[in-house]
Amino acid sequence: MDIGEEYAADVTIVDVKGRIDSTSAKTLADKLTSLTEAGRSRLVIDLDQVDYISSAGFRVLLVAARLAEEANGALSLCRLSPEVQKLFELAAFTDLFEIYPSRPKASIS
Amino acid sequence: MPGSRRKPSGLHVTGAKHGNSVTFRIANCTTEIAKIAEGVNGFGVNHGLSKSVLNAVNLALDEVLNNTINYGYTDNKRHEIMVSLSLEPGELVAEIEDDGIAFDPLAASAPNLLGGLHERELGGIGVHFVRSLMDDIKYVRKGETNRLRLSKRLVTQENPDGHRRRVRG
Repeated sequence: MDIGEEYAADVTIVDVKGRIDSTSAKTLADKLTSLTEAGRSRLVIDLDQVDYISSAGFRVLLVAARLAEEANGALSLCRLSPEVQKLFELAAFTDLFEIYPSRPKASIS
Repeated sequence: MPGSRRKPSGLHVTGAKHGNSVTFRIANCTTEIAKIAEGVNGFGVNHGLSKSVLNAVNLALDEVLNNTINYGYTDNKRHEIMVSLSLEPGELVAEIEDDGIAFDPLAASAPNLLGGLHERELGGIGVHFVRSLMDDIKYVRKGETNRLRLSKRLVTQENPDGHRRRVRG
C-alpha cells in the first residue's frame, strides 16, 4: 500500500493505492492520526486505486472518522471502485461517511 | 490481547507448485499474510484470473489468516499454517489448514450492522466478508486441525455472472 497527500485549502486529500489489509491498515491509521493531530482534520480519502479494504481497514476508517469529528473536522471518502463500494455496502458503512464521486480540486502552489 | 504474545521471527514462506495448484506454508505471524497475497496474485497472473476474483480471495484469506493468527493459539509457540490454491473447473479454491483452536466461520453469528459513527461495533465484519464474497465454504475439524475450503467462481466471457454452467444429460 502507498499513501500520498495533497491539499485543497484546509482539506487534506489522502491518496491510497493498493491493498488496505490487516498488514497495511496500521500504516494508514498512523497517517490519519498524525494529520488530525497536526490540525488537518478535514480529510478526504481517495480510494480510486484501492484493491480492497479488509475489516482491519474499516476499523481504521471508523476510528479515524471519530477522531476527526472530535477535532471539529470530518473524514470523507471519494472515488470508490464498484468492488470497494460493494464492501462498504456489505459492512453497512455507506451511511457513516460522505462519499463523493470525484476528488476535491487540489490547490495549486 | 494483541501485541502481548511473543511471535516467532525469521520465518519463511514456502511454496510448492503442481500445475494448477500451489501450496504455501507460513508461520503464525501476521507479517506472513502479505506473502500469501503476493502468492495469490502470482498464481492469478500465471493462470489469467481476473482481478476481481483475486481481490475477493485475497480479502477472504486476509480475514481468515488474521483471525487464526491473532485468536487461534493459546501458546506462544511457532505453528505452521498451510494455504493451498487450486484451479478447478469454473472455480478458484483456497484451502486453509491450521492447528489452532476450533473455529467454524459458518457457525459465527451475524454482525450487528446498526448504529451511527459513534455506536458502531465492528466485531464479525471479517467473517461476514468471507461468507459474502465466497461462493462456497466448507469447514471441517479433523483431530486437532481446522480445515477450511473457500471457493470463488470464475467469471469468464462465456460465464459473465460467475454462475455454474448447467450440464445437460
